[in-house]
Amino acid sequence: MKMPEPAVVWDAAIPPSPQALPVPAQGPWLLHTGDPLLLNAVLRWGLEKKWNVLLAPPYWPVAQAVEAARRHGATGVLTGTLIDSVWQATPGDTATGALGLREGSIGIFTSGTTGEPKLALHSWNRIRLPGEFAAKRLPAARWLMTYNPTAYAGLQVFFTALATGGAVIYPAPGAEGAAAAVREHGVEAISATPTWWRMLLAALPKEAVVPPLLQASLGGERVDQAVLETIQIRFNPRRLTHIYASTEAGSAIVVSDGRAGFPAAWLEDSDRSVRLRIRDGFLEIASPYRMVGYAGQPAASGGQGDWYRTPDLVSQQGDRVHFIGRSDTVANIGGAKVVLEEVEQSLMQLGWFSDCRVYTRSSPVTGTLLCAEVVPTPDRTVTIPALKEALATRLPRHAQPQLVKIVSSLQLSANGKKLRS
Amino acid sequence: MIPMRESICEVLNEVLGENGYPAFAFQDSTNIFRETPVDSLALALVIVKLEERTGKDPFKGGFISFTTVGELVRLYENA
Repeated sequence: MKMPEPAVVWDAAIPPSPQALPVPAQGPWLLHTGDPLLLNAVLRWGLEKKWNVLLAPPYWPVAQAVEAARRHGATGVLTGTLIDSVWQATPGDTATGALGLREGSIGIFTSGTTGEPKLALHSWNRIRLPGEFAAKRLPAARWLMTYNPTAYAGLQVFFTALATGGAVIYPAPGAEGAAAAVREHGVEAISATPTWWRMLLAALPKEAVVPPLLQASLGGERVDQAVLETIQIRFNPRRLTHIYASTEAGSAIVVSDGRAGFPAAWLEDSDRSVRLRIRDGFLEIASPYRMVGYAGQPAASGGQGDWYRTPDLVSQQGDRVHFIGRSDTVANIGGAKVVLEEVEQSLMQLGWFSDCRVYTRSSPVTGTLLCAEVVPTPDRTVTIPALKEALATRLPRHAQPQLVKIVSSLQLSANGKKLRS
Repeated sequence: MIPMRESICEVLNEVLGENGYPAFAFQDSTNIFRETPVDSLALALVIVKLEERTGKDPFKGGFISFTTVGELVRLYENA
């Protein structure tokens, strides 16, 4: 029998020596490691010494990391593990574009689902601020890492744990690894996408006793009332929060009243540190936590007047603003617009599934073919004809997924989000 | 190896079944769009399923018009 992979535990109380890291005082350089302990040592000392570090996602192949280091003018790549790290100089340094890598910035690569990954530069002092605010309420909490630890959301979890003298548990991959970590490592705080939460809920046996959480956070995807209520019942968290944040805008909206969406009173309120408005149906944000800019592109001019247009479509309904979907998850099916998240909503309302994913693929006949993967709850047998019949009365024909697959789990992105094509 | 004609008829009936229609006795001369409930959305699904099953997609470079089962079989045989 194959032994399950153990979780990795990082504790803020045990600082490694900065001398253990064979990196030059001058940057910029690139970190590419699958070892969270090496990543966290770099983040800890990088913050203190204001290193100039680019964080390559751990799932990148070596060649992609080396190529990114060259392209952005990094002097070298740090790889390996904390106890056996390897420094490799990158020859042929080139200067990066208009916005160069400056002293004391931390570079995060976007997921690049729609093209080449971009390098978003953040200042160390700003990127850790949201975590410091959360810290007051959560002394020395044990956090579960559910995100790619080099992405903005993963860094927020780390900096929160660092600021509180807490710990971060890195679970073994998959739903089983997550469920095991929750049961066995005394996890007290979890931040994850709604899709990841639903995966965890499905993987935890009904009879499993789950200690109440201090903090449950959701982010990265549209949050609906159903998932908030399910988490409230199963985990009974002292505080249940949904967060809107992005690599570009930073942490922007934090809601803890147990209701989906956010208060409409927050729009156009110039007294808030993060300002919000709706333009052309899109959420726009002016935030002190935003990135400095993309590497190689002109820096965003400073000041409070800087609005960033998110790809998220929102609508105001009474005293609440609700997220509808992202502009890149609106499909055009035979000339009609279909919001993928809304189709998922209709599927979930059947009450047959623990989760589902609606995505598109191109078709020579209709341009775009609407597809769905559904994960039936354990007590239910679902057939595709029965599912299509049930949807026929709930959705217009063009919004009914044609290709339907019944699966036991959804394949997620490295950040725990649903893949859309 | 399953003959292409058999795969195509199986997939056409699978898609009809998913959409709540009874199986149809497809002939080479059957006009798919006039004589059966297959419409453009269902055809898009048939093409995806046939690609998954046979690895072939004669419509990769764009749609090629056809009307009968026999014409569709030949498109796949020549792909």
